[in-house]
Amino acid sequence: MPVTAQQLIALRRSLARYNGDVSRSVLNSLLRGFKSVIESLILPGTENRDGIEVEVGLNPATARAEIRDLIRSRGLAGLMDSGQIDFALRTATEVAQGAGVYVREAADAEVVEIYPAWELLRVYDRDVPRGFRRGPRGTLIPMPGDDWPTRFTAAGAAVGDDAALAVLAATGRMVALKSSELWQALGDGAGGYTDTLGNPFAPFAFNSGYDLNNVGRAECVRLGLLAVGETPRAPQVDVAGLFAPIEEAA
Amino acid sequence: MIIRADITFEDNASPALARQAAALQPRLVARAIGGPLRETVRNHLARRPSNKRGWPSTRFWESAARGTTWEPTEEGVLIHIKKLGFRQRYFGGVIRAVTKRFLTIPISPLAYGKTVADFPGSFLMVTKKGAYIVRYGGAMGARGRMRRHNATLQFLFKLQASVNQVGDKDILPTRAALMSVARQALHEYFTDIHGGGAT
Repeated sequence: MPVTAQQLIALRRSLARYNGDVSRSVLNSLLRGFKSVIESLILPGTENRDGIEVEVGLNPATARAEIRDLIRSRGLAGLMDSGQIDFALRTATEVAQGAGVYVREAADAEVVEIYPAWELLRVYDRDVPRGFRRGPRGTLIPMPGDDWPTRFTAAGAAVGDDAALAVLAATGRMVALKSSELWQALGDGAGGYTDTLGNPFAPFAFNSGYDLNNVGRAECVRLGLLAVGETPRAPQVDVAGLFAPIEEAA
Repeated sequence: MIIRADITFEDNASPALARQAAALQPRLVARAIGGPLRETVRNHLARRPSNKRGWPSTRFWESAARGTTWEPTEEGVLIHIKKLGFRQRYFGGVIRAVTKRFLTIPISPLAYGKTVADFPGSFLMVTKKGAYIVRYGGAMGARGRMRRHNATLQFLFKLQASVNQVGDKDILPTRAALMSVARQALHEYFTDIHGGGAT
């Protein structure tokens, strides 16, 4: 699996703090190293040792060591510290995992017919959820306008998905048809958010603990997203673009 | 008097039955249960406690949850959990050092989720209790300030040729829980088809 455009964005943003010059060829070489490491993280293999099937591949610690060696070998010591490497690898891995689920559940018209919509909701806990910042003595201080419902509203308004906005207003749930451009707008940071990853699928932003659940068609009808008997439309999933090689995406 | 009664048979059953029969195709049944099963496994993994010792999380379970996918098969649905170490945790068994002479077992929160390469200047120390990777650390003064660097030794990893991990079947939802989710998904799917919602 090649590195995707979304992963490239994630990596580039991780590299953004670096003050030195990184040539395109060195960057691409670095990205290819990331690609290989990410593949091993996403798709661990198995091999037979003495008649026993065992898992093989990199774990986050050995992956970090490989990237650190790669950075040193390219004469870029100081480009990324261990924390930044971890962050870049984690983000790129999560995006690739999200892309896999997206293709399965959005590109398949029969799945979309049974589950026409997604609901955005918290699945993974975070010490400091979006919409808050850490205050003194571990308190959480609200940051109005940064939370997911506000972002969802901004994305829905940007693409004119009034039905999704009506569902949010009536139920507090962030549900939209899979075919809605709202999802891409959410990933693009509609409303002026700069921490997003450019995906029409979760994770939509760095370090996000939100993910997507399928919503069945009967529920979509109840919520007013579909009319009875209406055929839901599958989103335009550009699988080739989603998994475009880094040379094309760069 | 003749009463004439015209009887017209309207076959409403056949189209409905045809819809039901079409909906029973394994391909569609798999698509009806695949997503909900994936979400159930994902949520189960996401709720796992981070680690027994309360050390900083490496997000192992979140990564396993995000690596959960599904695919339709001829028999039903296959749920994949693509995460190195998951299988080992489920089945358990002996882990042996293969590429190196010893496994490095973290014995400090500082070392958890790290390798020896993350600690430049660390070195091997052999004691009666075993071999360790250690480094010099600081000593705290009475007011909690770092007073002297290199005043103490921090034990980071213990070296072992192998460890025997006990398997844990609870890291996956029970078969009964998965069957319940599949049944519920199928119930909603067929209710929808029967209600004429399907196209």
